[in-house]
Amino acid sequence: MLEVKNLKVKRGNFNLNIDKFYLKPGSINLVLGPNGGGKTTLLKSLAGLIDYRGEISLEGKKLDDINFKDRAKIFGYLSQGIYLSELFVRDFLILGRFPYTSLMSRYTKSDWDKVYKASEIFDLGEYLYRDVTTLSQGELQRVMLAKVFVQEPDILLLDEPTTALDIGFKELVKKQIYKYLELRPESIVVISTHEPSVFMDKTDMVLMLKHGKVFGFGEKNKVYNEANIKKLFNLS
Amino acid sequence: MFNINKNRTERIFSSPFFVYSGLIVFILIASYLSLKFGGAGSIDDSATGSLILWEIRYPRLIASLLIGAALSLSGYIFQTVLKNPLADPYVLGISSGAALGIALYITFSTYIFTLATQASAFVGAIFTLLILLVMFRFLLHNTVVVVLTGVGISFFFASIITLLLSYMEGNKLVYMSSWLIGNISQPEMKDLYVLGFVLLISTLLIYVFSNALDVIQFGEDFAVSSGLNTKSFTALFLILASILAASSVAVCGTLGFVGLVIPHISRLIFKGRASGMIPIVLLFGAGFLTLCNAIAGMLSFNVEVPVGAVTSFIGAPVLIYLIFRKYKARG
Repeated sequence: MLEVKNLKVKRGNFNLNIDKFYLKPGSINLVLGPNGGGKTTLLKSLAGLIDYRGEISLEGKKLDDINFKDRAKIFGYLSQGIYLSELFVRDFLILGRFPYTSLMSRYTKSDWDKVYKASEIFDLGEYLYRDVTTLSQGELQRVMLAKVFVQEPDILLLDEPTTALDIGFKELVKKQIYKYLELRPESIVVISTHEPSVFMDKTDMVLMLKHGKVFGFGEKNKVYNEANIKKLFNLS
Repeated sequence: MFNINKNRTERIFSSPFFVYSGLIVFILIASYLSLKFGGAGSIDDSATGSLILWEIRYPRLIASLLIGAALSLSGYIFQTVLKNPLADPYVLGISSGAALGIALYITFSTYIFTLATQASAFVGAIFTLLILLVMFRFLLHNTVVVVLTGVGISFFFASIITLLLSYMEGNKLVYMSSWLIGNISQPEMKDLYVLGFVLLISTLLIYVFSNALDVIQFGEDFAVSSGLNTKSFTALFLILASILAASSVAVCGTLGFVGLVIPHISRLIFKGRASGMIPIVLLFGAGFLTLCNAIAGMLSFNVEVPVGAVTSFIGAPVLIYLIFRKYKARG
């Protein structure tokens, strides 16, 4: 169980304040809310990218002070964008194995096997020797997600994983996320999205954020309804 | 079918040995030309030929190989870590900082010791790096601002050096002014030993941590979420790159464009992880500066042409071409 208590993040004028929420192993969870509600800030704090006050624990073990590599083995973060630098797709994907190397060691054959496996399931076989700076937005999004899969984290933190994808690839990405959970039944998937319908069939919990505060949290059936959505997004 | 393709392309791209052999041939040709035409008279002269070859051209050859390698590696690290294609020790003002350190030392000392010269170059370079890092921290991690600050620092330090020159007299003035333009005509062997040592240690460290360099180039968020202690490694890499630049400056003064252009051309030859890129950048940089040295020798008739004039003459147009190519491709 992933537990978050008294999480406080301050970024310029924006404050994120979350009293408490928890996510069960083997679950798919959505973070919903308007732009600027705090979805990305929450995911980044969990991934350890920004400083926060409060407590984040997994199975009772506090995660606030663990080292960078151990945190990357637990949390795999898919960001909405990265700074692009020239590198072949295969060399980009192997970076998912970085937390498992000691600094002097090279990547092993089994590391590369994971890269080829991930590139196969995301239909990236013919892209392996493409430079990542030449990819389209949709191609890049699949490559970045494949890298997070190569990282084999316990908790997938996915910030808008399907936004740039066409219908076919949305389905592919959804299928692969579900499959990841089948293969590692203890893992937890957290998806921040403006397209909740894509994952709704298997969603467990929904966390709604507005103005940096929890607007609603609970099981899909209880929280995700028309009245709440209207209020969350100020629809009349 | 997938596997056949994978293995074929893998053979061609992932083993950069054919690139290495090409570069070694390039270095051998450049070294030959440098020894044959490297300035300071003719080696065919029966009286002075062997003296010129052994006392002038070999030291110059060693200097150009070492400095070319050191500046290129330094530029590669700055560009990768700061994620800015225009970053290199010259543009960032690190070289000027090292030069200022040396100028201050020479102005205020009676005797000139090699190690003290090197040390003042290190201090000057690290001081400049600290200014840049403070700017980086307070200006929202904007690398464009860092590069522009570097350019400003560079001009500022150059003006201080000019002021210091006006205080110098006799030997010191001659020494400083010939050294400032980027000159490898009379390298001190002691300086070369220090540079060789610095290059060896820095290269080993950078190579050992090359996996971290791969992760760092995609930005802080990507690097941290991939498990890298980004702050520590950014500092480590930038310090090593500054030391490489400082040690080169102590031998030859501020030499522009080598650190800027070589990493770009290396990326055209080979797109790979840092562990593959580092040897290519080193070899190509060594060969390039040696070739520039040979060209400088060929162009010297009445007065010796400093190698810095040749690197800028070749480097500046190449840089403009690379920028044009890059931004034109992006539309």
